[in-house]
Amino acid sequence: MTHAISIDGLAYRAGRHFAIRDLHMRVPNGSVYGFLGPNGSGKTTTIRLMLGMLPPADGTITVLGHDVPRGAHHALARIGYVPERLHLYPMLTVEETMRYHASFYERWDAAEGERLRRAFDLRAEQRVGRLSKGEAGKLMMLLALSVRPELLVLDEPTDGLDPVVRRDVLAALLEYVSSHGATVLISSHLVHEQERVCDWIGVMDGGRLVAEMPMNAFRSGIKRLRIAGAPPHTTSTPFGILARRAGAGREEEWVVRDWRDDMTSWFASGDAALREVVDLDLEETFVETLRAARNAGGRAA
Amino acid sequence: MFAQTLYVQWKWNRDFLAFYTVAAFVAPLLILWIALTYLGFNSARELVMVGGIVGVTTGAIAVVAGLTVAWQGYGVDDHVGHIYALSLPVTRSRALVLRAATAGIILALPALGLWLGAILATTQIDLPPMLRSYAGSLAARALLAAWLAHTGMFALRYAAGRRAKLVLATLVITVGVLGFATEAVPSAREAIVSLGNFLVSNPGPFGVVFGRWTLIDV
Repeated sequence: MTHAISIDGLAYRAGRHFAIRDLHMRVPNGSVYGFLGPNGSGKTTTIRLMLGMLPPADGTITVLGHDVPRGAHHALARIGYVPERLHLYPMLTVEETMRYHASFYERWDAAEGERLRRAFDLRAEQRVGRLSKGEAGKLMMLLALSVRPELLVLDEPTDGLDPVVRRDVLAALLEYVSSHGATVLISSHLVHEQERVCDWIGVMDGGRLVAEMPMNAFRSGIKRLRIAGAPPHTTSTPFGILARRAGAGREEEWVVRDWRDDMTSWFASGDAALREVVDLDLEETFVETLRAARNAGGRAA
Repeated sequence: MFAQTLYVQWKWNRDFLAFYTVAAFVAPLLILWIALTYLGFNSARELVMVGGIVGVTTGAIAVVAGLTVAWQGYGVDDHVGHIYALSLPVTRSRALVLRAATAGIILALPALGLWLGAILATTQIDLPPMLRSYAGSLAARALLAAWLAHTGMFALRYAAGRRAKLVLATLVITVGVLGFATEAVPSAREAIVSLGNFLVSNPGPFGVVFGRWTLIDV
């Protein structure tokens, strides 16, 4: 098994206006997979489908070698899951929640749970319903990490948390991943956060996965070119053109993908002159990828 | 897992359960006290009637307790969008069995309260030789009625929304059609009435609720 998560031809419809169509996705074992997409793009729905919480209309989902939803309970025993909102019972205390959660997991590490509770400064007798947003986020991360998961599925785990809590939560996550080699799927629209921790990227938009590749390829393959005397029509280029925009004077800005340094020679053969090649940061890359996907009405990369 | 689920169920339902347990304990004492002290019911016939009032009252408490625990038990998951329950590594059928079984156990509390209250109430009065107290039977029946009510509500609330509506609509339409048929088709009347009697009397499925409830009888 080389992929912790494999999804093929997944389809799901929720209401009249939202659908996941023909989704194919691979999360490599041991990777930290950033699941990017704007709000409402289908990230949470896809996560719920891959955890067996929703029944797919079509397609196959395999998580840690188990078919989902049929074998979801086997997979869930090896997964730590942090949903986007507090999902725990509000009338229980932190300690009771830990006990309740532990009773479902053979792999529960009580010592680690207690260590994290102290590290996160959570009071055992505090009721879950009275936790602040930051404390709730820490408790959910504590529960997810204490089951010693092989796969962590984190749905917007730091959304709405203050910088200090966010740093604590991410530090605990990275510490676990580095010591256990777990696979992580981390969904977020906070692109800069993904840039720091992820080595694979998948981009969702409108219920489709419009890009999926290693982080290095995602970042280095997409460039902004400043070109003077650009031809009005380009038919065959060694790179893909995601966008063309007018620049200063006779210059144009092109956003291209699959760029390599030796491709500068393509410009030498024509009238166009390549003035500058600009690296895009992840957020710009993400935005350009989405823009290109929307223009093309389909898969961008 | 079972003990922890029982604890969660208890913690979620304990306020209502405490209320129903106290109500079931107090009801026989209160009704007999009012009947004997203020209304002066003393004859065997009157005592049987008062026993019936106790029976119906405590039966109603048991049914409402069953309905409430099912409604509330669902509420604990509904409150958090069912995400937690669905993310735990158990099959849905096992999770439902856990919930139903633990609810069944905590519903014994109102029945226990009723049993103690009924025993205490009947020891306070001198029953004529031909009459007997049925505190144990009444409590056992209350428990069965609470379970039945719980099961019905539990099934409806945990069924998917559309399915629950379909079941309810089917029930309402069936009852409506049968009611109409008893008037419109005289030849079917006897069969329909027999079916109704079977459903609401022992050993029919709802006999435990609709049969005669009483604390004191011959």
